[in-house]
Amino acid sequence: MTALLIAIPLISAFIFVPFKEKSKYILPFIVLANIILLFNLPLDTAESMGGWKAPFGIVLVLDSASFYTLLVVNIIFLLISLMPQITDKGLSIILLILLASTNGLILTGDIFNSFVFMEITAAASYIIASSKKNYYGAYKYLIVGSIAGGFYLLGAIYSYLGTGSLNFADISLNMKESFLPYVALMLFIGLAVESKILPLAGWVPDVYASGSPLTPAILGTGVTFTMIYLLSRIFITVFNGYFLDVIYIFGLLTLILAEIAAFKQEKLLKALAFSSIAQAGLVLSVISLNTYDSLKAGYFHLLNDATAKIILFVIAATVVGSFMKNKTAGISFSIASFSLIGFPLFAGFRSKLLILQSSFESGNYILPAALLFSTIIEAAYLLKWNIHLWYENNEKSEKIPWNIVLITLILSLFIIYIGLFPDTYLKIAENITNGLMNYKAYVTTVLGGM
Amino acid sequence: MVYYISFILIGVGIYGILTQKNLFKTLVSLTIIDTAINILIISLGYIEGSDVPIYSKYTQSANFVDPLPQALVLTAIVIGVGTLALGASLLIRVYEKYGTLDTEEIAVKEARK
Repeated sequence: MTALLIAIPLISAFIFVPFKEKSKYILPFIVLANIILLFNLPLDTAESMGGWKAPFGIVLVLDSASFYTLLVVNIIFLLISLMPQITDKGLSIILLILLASTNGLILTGDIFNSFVFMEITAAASYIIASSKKNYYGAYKYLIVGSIAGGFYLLGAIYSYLGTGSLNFADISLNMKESFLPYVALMLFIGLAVESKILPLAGWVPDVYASGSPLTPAILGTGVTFTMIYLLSRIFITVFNGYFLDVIYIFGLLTLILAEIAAFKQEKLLKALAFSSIAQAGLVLSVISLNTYDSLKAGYFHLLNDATAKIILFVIAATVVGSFMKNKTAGISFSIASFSLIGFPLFAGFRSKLLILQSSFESGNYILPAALLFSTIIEAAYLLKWNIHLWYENNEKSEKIPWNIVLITLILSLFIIYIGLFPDTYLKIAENITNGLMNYKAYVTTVLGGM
Repeated sequence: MVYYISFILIGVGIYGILTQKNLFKTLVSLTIIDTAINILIISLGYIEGSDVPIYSKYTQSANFVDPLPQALVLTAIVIGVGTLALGASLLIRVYEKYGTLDTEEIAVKEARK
């Protein structure tokens, strides 16, 4: 039954190839069917594909962490598919393939299978990145992403040498000590490109600032969420926090350098692209503290960031000129940017406060300093862009379609609601954290009480 | 011995990606890296003096090399071919848009816009 989550989008993608024009209107119904199916699946089960038992065959694991991550990613896809104007001709089929591969990446319990799904995700991302005639940026992304895929494959093979198995639970039980550094390094190089760690994130501004609203809205939220989930699953559940010190240093460097780079940009979309790199670095450095509270705070911040980033990217790419003729869209944009800075009453304030609390409790004073420094820079450039967009008298502004205005307005009101009553997002973050930290339960779910 | 060959090939591929100005040569370097990784995986599963992993009346002693890396390499080759085709189609589009595949000339034309 769990395999249907991957099979339904994949089959429908191939069925709708002849009807390229119509398929963008069928996309929401398929995603909705996926979400309904997800709620009817049994929790804490591992389904073995083709009848092969756990250490030998491929398993699809549905515990609380993967269930809530699937829910978040599918809702992001639903929101994107409700705005059919931003999808170019023929790209809705690629979106379906991307949905199938991200679902597989979240569900799988097998390291080579995760490599295959990662390559499918990457291929779909290259095609989405090439919309609005941005072929050169997409080509750079392809080169970097393929090298990362090669390193990830090497990491998978070395873990097979060290254990004699490809199953995540089996690797966490039987890994030889001498193989651990190599495997962790290779897997980290492979995952760092997609989750936007700075020395390997040179492709992000080229791809996100192409002028297409779809590319950053889906790659910067859904795919990033999936990749950060996979990274925490591998390094926290499987390796029990082995390599996390290195990830912490890289995350802090990414946060500070990307905020300074975002401050210097002269185009709004490039500034937002660097800001999304910085937020990914912040989330990874918080997650790598590896305590219950810090993981909860990190995922809560990631959820807030994804909600704000959808609004910011869609409006920034569709509105040309000033907000004076699009007042509703301007109000949603301002609310989302205030939440990103972390003003009180907005959702970002709650999550930044939680991050500060959790890092002080674990006796860490470098991360709060870096966070406050980056918040000051963020406030400077986002307020600058807000003033610039509200008060610039530009004649060539267009009307945006009503459904985009409505969806962004609902999302911005939801940000204020989360700022007052944060329980919904906190519950999701807590459940993801429970599934990730409880590796004994994961092993018994997969291998069946061995 | 085979390990050294594949590591040298990975080095050659990364050197090519870092230094070539022609975009098509970077794509060729990418395939060199892919091939090197595949050779490495195949050589890791080899056991001295063993047979092909096919069960028949001539190989009843089940003295086989490890068949799992070979199955993995099949998948990796297919994925590499797909990536290569996608990269080549993107390069055709780049040539239609800029009229050249040289990185420096493309940067000049981008700056003029």
